[in-house]
Amino acid sequence: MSISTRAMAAQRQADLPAASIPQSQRTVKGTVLSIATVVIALLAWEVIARLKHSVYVPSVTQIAITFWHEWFSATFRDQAVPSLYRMFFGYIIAAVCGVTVGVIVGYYRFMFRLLDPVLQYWRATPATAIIPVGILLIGIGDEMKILVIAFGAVWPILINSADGARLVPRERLETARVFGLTSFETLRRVVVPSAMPQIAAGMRTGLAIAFILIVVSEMIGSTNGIGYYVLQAQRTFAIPEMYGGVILLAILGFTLNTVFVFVESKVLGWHYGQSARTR
Amino acid sequence: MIVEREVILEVEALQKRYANGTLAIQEISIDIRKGEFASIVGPSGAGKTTLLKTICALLAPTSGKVSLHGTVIESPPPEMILVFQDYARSLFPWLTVIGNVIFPLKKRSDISKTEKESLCREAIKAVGLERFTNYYPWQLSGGMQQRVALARAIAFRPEILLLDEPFASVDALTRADLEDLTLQLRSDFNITMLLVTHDIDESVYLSDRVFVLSPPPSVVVAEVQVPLSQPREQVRTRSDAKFIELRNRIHGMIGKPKEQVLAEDEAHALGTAALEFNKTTS
Amino acid sequence: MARQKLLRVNVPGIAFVIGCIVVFEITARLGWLTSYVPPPSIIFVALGQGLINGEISSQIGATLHAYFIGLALATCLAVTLGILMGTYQPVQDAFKMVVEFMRPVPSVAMIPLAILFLGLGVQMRVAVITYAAFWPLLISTLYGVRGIDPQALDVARNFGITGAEALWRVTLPSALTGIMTGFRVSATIALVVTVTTELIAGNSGIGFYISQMEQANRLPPMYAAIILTGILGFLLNAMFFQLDRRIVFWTPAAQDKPA
Repeated sequence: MSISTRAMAAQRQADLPAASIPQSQRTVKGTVLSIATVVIALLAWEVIARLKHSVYVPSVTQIAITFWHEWFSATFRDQAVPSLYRMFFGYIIAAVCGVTVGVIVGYYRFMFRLLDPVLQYWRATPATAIIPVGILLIGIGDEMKILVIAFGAVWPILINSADGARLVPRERLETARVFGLTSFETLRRVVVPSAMPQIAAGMRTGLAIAFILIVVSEMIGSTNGIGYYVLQAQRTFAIPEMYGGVILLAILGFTLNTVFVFVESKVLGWHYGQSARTR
Repeated sequence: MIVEREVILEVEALQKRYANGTLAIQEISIDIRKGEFASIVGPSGAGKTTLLKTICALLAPTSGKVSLHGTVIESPPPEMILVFQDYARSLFPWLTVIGNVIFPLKKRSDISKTEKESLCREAIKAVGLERFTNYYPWQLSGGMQQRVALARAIAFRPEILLLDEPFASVDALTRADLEDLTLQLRSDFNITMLLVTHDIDESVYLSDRVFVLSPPPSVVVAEVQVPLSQPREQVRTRSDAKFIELRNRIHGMIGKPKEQVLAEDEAHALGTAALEFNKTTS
Repeated sequence: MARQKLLRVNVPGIAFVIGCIVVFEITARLGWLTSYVPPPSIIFVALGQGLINGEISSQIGATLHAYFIGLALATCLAVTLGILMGTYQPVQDAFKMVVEFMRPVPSVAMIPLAILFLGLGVQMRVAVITYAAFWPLLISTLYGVRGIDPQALDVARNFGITGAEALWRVTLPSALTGIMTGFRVSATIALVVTVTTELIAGNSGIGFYISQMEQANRLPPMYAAIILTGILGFLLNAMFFQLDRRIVFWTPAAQDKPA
């Protein structure tokens, strides 16, 4: 892959939308239709549940009650909180390492050439395959999960940061030189802000990966956590609890994404304004 | 007539070869005097941008040297600032207008913060963008963005401003405005200007002196004095007979190698002398 | 120009990789590394053996089998729904909320659900893979369709091409750039999910093999399989990248030109 095509691909990644569905005119009819589909789906589920009386398909009301019962109690503290803090620690480690190393690698061309094959290989390796190694080397405690999450989330962050640092328009770098900025000052004041859209894209992907990895690592090697809870519920045929866990994961995922998008819009307001202009 | 001003920038036997071996600049020697407005005109591909970048040490010359006040330049000096043609790519989109203008001043520890701000506001006012101080570059038109780039350079109070085809990317009306703005800035802030352009009319309109470049490998084929009256004015100056004569002369030089230009110039001079002789003797 | 072509082979990069492997080998042999990490030479031998005697290669086959079926299913569903949603506003409105709620559920959370309904076989894995690969592709297709130059459809209408035919002959090709980007993201995710599902609850495939080797304490084959997973991911990435270039050959990126 030549550098210019990587650049184009990187640009396309940065332009991938933060919001899920494109914003179109919000008509009353449209909103009603959206809600209607959801209601219909829930009703259909309820009907099937009551008709089939299968253990596998509990009614919506049953799931709701279990959910309320489980997650608004000590279970949340015992299961959800550990998951969350493991994920955040791992993610923050990945973010700090990824952005720092990424920007440096992207800025200093030689470093980029040196590390490119290694980076390409490790980013292609599914981080979940590393979990058995992690368990072997450091057991099934918090450290293993945090490290696995950090390992998995760092690659998109690093590579996107590197791409962002590499793609700074030449004129901006030359402007910095004309005004006498040192190499480090240029890195800090020109390259990093320039690369922010790309860095943000990487961090968004990294967050998604961190979320997946916490669930997986808890399913494979853990004694608590949401991942453990859901798998355990399935194994012990606590079916409503299982569904409850999945729903909680959905809510968490949705919340994380929303928070991220919000923060991003605040920090990168200038980028969205600019892209909107040049469209 | 022309006051002999002090030479502040000396380009001596400058040669520039690209990495792929092409010789862009064969040999260029120019002297720039304090306070003057000099232009460099040449066909596309003559290496004009390369020349400017080499002069301000963004690129290293293959041979020859550039001296500012007698000292050879090795890295971009703060006394000489380059304004790029592509303003969109040289302004920082995450900063507002004033953010962009104050950017290069931020690292200067010898000026107080309030002084920096007043320098910036003065520069922004000088380019006519006070109302847009807190706007982002991408909210402004092309001409306004180029003004921001100019303000950023002016606020830094350089001695010499290098302008790389700065008005090539704007429409004709905006170009006229920006040309006059440049002249205004030059007299208000007493800055020496070196402008590179492919637009002959622009070069004659703005300058005290025009250097004509040959096609690559470039040399200076002629140095044309522009003794038109100051202050320049778009309609009056451009309809002046002398203006038309100068721009036609330069127009005839573009694209031709040096020997040919010199020969034609000589023939022209002889012809004019003959005409003058005929007039006096008739 | 010839010089530039030669330089495309990243000599320093490859040298660095070889250097790392050598350092790894030396430190492992010297016993500086934990006994849980064998030297690379042993791992590569195990890799070679596993491939030749079919132990690993059969598992690769199983993995790829589930992978491609899941990916193909996801592509058909996602592209179809994406085009419909992108073209017809009522369709988009109808499914909007459903998508918003289902999308953030990590595919791995669906594994217990899938096991419940489909047991521990290939179908379960394909279901999870399809679910995982579906969402990025759907969103990309949606954006791809919405980003189409409206003129293209007007020109088509002028020539009497409307409805389903227009969707197939105009909308789909125009949205292809966006679709391909989403496809490549989906392809990457699909591999991760395939291996993960095999790890957690598989009965065949590379992930299953890794977990088996770990339990049997046969470490070199385990590492070999992990390395192989990376290579597999790398090759699939490269393959889909080339596919992207050839299918969407009219974009500047595919022609190696600056935009």
